[in-house]
Amino acid sequence: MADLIARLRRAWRGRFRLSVTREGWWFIGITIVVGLAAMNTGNNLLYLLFAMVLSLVLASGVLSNVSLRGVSVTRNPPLRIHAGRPFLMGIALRNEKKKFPSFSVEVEDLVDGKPLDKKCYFLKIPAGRLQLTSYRHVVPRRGRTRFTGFRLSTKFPFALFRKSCAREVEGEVIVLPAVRPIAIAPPPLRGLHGDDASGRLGRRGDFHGLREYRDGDDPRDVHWRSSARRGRAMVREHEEESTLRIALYLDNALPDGEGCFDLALRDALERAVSLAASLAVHYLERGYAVRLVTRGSAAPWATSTAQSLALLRYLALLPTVDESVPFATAGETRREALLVARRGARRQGGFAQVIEA
Amino acid sequence: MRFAAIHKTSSYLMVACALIPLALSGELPTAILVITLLGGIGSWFFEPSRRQIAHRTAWSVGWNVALIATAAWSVGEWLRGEGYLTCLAEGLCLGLVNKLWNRRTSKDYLYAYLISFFMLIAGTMLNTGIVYCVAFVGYVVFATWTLTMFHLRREMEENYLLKHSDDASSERVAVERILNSRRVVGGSFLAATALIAVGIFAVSSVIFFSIPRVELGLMRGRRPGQLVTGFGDRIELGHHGLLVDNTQIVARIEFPTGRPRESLHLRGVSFDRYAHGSWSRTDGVRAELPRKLGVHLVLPVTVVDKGHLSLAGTLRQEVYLEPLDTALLFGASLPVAVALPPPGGGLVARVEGTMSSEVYVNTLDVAGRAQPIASGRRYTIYSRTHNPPRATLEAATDLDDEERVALGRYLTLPADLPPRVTALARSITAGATTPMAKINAVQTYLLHNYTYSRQLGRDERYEPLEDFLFVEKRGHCEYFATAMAVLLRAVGVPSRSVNGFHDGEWNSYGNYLTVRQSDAHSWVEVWLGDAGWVTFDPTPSAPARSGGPSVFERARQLADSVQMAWFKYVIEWDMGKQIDMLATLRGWLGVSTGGDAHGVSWRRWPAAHPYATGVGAGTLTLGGLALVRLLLRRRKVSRAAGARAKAPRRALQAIERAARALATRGIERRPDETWSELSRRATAAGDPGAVAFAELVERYHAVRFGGLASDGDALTRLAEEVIRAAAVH
Repeated sequence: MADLIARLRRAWRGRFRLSVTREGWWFIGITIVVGLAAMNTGNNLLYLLFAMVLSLVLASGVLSNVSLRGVSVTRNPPLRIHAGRPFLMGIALRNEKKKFPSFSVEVEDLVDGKPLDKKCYFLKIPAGRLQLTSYRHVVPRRGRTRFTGFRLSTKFPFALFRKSCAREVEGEVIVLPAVRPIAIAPPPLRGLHGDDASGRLGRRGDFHGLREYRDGDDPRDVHWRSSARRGRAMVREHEEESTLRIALYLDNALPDGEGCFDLALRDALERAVSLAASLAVHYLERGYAVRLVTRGSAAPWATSTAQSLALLRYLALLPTVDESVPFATAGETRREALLVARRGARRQGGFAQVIEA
Repeated sequence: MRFAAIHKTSSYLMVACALIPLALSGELPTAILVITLLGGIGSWFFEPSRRQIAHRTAWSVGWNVALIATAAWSVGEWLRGEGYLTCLAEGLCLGLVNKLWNRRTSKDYLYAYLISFFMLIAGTMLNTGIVYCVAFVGYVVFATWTLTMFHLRREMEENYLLKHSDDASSERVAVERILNSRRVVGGSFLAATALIAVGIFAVSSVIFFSIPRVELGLMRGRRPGQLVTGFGDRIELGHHGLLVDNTQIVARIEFPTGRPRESLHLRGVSFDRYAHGSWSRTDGVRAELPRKLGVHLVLPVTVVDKGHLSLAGTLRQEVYLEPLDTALLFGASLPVAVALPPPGGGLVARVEGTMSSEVYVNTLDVAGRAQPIASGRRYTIYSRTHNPPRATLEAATDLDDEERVALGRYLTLPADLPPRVTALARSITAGATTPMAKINAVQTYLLHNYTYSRQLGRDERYEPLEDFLFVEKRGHCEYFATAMAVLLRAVGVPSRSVNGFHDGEWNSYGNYLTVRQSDAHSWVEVWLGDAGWVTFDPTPSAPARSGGPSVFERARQLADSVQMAWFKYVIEWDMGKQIDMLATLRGWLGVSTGGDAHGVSWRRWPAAHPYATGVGAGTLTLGGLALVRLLLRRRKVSRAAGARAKAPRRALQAIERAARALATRGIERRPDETWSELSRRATAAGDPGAVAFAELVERYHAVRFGGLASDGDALTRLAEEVIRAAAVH
């Protein structure tokens, strides 16, 4: 029997958590006083009042359960989330109950099991209906942010208690580096103009070949016949007529790589990543083809603003490496490229232009 | 209806329900009552949030000053000797008016609710009538509405913020639009909330009846008392008419053994001294009645059997006496024993009796001062209602000298009694040799020669009794009783006049007798030797009314039965009744723990009730099976939900393991590379685990984005295949 009670208690705690509000504490205090007065005086009407306030407590527990039961919640993140920039996270709450509406439900998003400081409030969700809202949030750093679930809570109906329960709804967003406007960007050192075929890929040049479709490709470039033959989307590649290109080298090294816990160095590196992202977007918006090269890896050429997302995702997930890791091989010499490095980083030879963040 | 309007209406109704018991208690001064009612009604039309005047400092200062003055005045009243509860109620009323005129924010509403609750508490002591019951029911319903809407209102005010502005600070959205919305709450909401209120009321009732009654009586101070005057021990002939038309209820009497067949004379007080048309009592000694096994013995009860008083043959009456200015307890003639529940609150009940079978009870505080009981009294009284056998009555003989001395005051006649009264007595009883014969002669004479009338003429030249016997020859019960008592005394038969109530109105809804002031009656008790004091009623019966009770009377009975239920089951609910309730439940089951002659033991119960046992066992079995099925289903659903929640994590772990294996073989996942891209690259590179990895990726996508549950073993197997592929090849 004791075991059963303990199991029931654990099951109950697992589902709902109960906390007392300020008004609830007052209410409990008044209840105790009325109860004591009833016991002291033997006045049955005081017993009646005591019974009424106890019933209100019970009703509060039952109704808050009804309000939270049968409610599902999902999140709809925006396409791009930049570090340090506010964004709106869409929250959809569905009342799956057939008859009963849910009142006064608060939703908190959980990151690594901890609630964010922003809440979404739903006054009334009629039975079987979906309601949407959003909360404004800022993620300070780039990278993966894993949402583990939601915490639903309500103070309905009398605001005496706050009852909450967790909903495990996992989700992951990739937070892109912060992109800031660049006032004056250094011009690329080498540029080919005119109709010279450069061997680089462009939008309207001579036919260069076919390749598989990638995110950000212009749908107009889809070669339907080849796509139908191969069973997957293929796009045409053209040699660019007028080539403006730049290779951005980003020094992503820290003294001990991922093991570096010097916050100042890490912040400096993050500033460098942000600067590289800003420069990449800046050049893409001005018609340059941009390639990012970092220690240990390199991103493919991005030739349009539509492909900036791929570059930003690359930067978002860029790991920190040890200083011994060399830059990945690239088609350009270092003399033609631009190096972005954190302030105080070890100087890399061979780069004509170095920008410290 | 708009949300704000519904909230305001329910708030006012809730407050009104709290105010009604106080307003109808009669304890509040008229001025306070008028101020509260007018102030409350006026505040309905005043919206402080919209009125400019309510935002001025002078307005709040003025109200605060008024509040302080009110508190000071209440304290002053208390110091002047007014009851503290009354002072508190006055302060609460004026505080409520203050809050109603200043309900700008939700906090003001909250204070108004708090005040209303304290008013309801004060009402428990100032008004315990059926009005409180009605107000309480209303309060539960309206409080459920009000508190729910109050919560929603405050959540609106706190949560509807413009959070999406670029700067960090959020801006408030005007909640007026939402408060005026008609879509937040509607008829269905109010109906559902009212149903919830019904549930709250039902649960309250269960809790109320179940809470063990405890009474500590701590910190009890002096209560402002009133002097308790006794029941009138002196009556004047000719002044009885006022009671006849007074329908005020005096008592309600239940008979656990069923409605008695005979008419009852509810005895109050007897009179032994008659002079000039007035009856009075000789100051007799009141002595505390002996208490034995929970009852006070009015008459000696000698048989005590195994811890139980033998009260066989007596009529048990459960009397609910309304508040009366008397310490007398009424009961069917003649009372034998009386039992009272303790008055509670640290008070004690002192039960006294006289030689002439009156029962008095006084509620005394610690200092021995008599205290009033505002809610009336409840007691159980046992009476011997049957007169002794006729043979015993007729066997009574004339008094001997010793008895004549002992019963002298019941034989005394006034010195100025007109001689023709005595002569009449002798002429009536001429030829009667025994006391019983004399009694019969007098009673028959009165019944045959006089008529009952409420309209009594009065000739001031004659003594009242003489006027009745020889001039008017009509009168009400006191005249008849007086005449019989005096005439019997004139022929040497001890007699006394008794005042009380005769019969009453049987309430068929509640199965009890309602006794009103209009049922007041006088009759005679005559001493008949071994038979003791025997009741005789010489008053002719009033003509019986044809037909049953009218619609109005039925409605009145129904209302009275509600009031009786309120008094019996709420006001007077105590631990004794809780035990009775349990005993009743046990009786319904036919179970007794001891297995005595009237019941069966628990062990034998199933055999004694095979049908009930079968139905109960079947119900329990079906219920248990349903519960088990429900639990299993919930567990299954819970497991499935848990598996769904864990599936993406498992799939991710498996694919990451496989990817690490690929990385060791030179196919490392690039940061911007998807799993599909990595799979294609592994295939292009001719990795031996590429096929297994491609399947793993497909399954991962199905789990991660398709929401499908996945077989964890299959995922692990595929990951293992990818890891082992290099070794195999």
